[in-house]
Amino acid sequence: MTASKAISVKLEGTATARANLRVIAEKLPRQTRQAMVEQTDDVRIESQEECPYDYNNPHNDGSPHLRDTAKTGIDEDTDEYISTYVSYDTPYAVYQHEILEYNHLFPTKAKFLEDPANRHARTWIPDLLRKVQGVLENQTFIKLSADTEIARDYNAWQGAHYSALAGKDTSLIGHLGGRFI
Amino acid sequence: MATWLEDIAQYLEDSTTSIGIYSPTTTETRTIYLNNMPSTADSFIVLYPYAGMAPDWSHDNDSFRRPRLNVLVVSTAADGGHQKSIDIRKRLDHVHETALPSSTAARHYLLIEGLGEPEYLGKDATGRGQFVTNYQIKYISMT
Repeated sequence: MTASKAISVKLEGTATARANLRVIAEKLPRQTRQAMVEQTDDVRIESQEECPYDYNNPHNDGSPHLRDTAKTGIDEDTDEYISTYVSYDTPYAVYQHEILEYNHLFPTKAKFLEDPANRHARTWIPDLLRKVQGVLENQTFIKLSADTEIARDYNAWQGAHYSALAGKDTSLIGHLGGRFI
Repeated sequence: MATWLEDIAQYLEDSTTSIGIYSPTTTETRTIYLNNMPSTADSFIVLYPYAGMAPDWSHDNDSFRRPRLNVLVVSTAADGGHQKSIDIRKRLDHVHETALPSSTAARHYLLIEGLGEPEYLGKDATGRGQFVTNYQIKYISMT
């Protein structure tokens, strides 16, 4: 089993807000859960921007780059408790996160998960309430690019993929065809 | 002008459990460093500050600072520095309502708390064990 590291965020001084949030979570459990996941995803996205990237290793063996192992999920989901996580999952994740002596290309750095989590912790509850409101108003899909840009990029990838296949004997390409051409 | 990081380094040196030396005399060897890993083959401790959480302000303009501290223990000891990490944690964890440095009381430390147990990072290139522990610091400047 490969090593993984998860960060927990402890909120303080929010007893009243947490009590109100508990009421909201009880009355709107599905929406609150979705808002929590979306909010945790925001942390993941920021974290991946700061995650060190090994440009010297193309990972030809198929192993993922550290950044690509970032994952968001629900840790616990009970009537009393919703816990989400962001995790990275390579054997060297903890070294890149904890050893502040290493040099990294800006903006990547150590503490690439803990720092974004800390930045979000301060406004976690009001942000969460806004996201619950967004979920209730059916604004749940986060568009990072316009549809035309998404279609353009997809078509460009598809064109490059089929160009790479042109003139090749594809009979010997197994289940990994398309990745290692 | 001293920083909170230097306060912590001196506080560790002042411990009665011989954690390390930050301000060596002519006969002592420094073992507690700030921000930079020394090029030595011996055991040492490095204190690294990192961002933590944004500060808060009170009505009389005091700012509650909340940085975090990463303590790296590199050790030639058989346990890889585990006991040393525990000694540091015992010294720092739950420090509260304490003015540091003791000589000038420049900062009032509301609380120092460990964010977990010492984490083993394996051995370095010279075979020394490495342990890392993180702490949340909360203080107010008194000057």
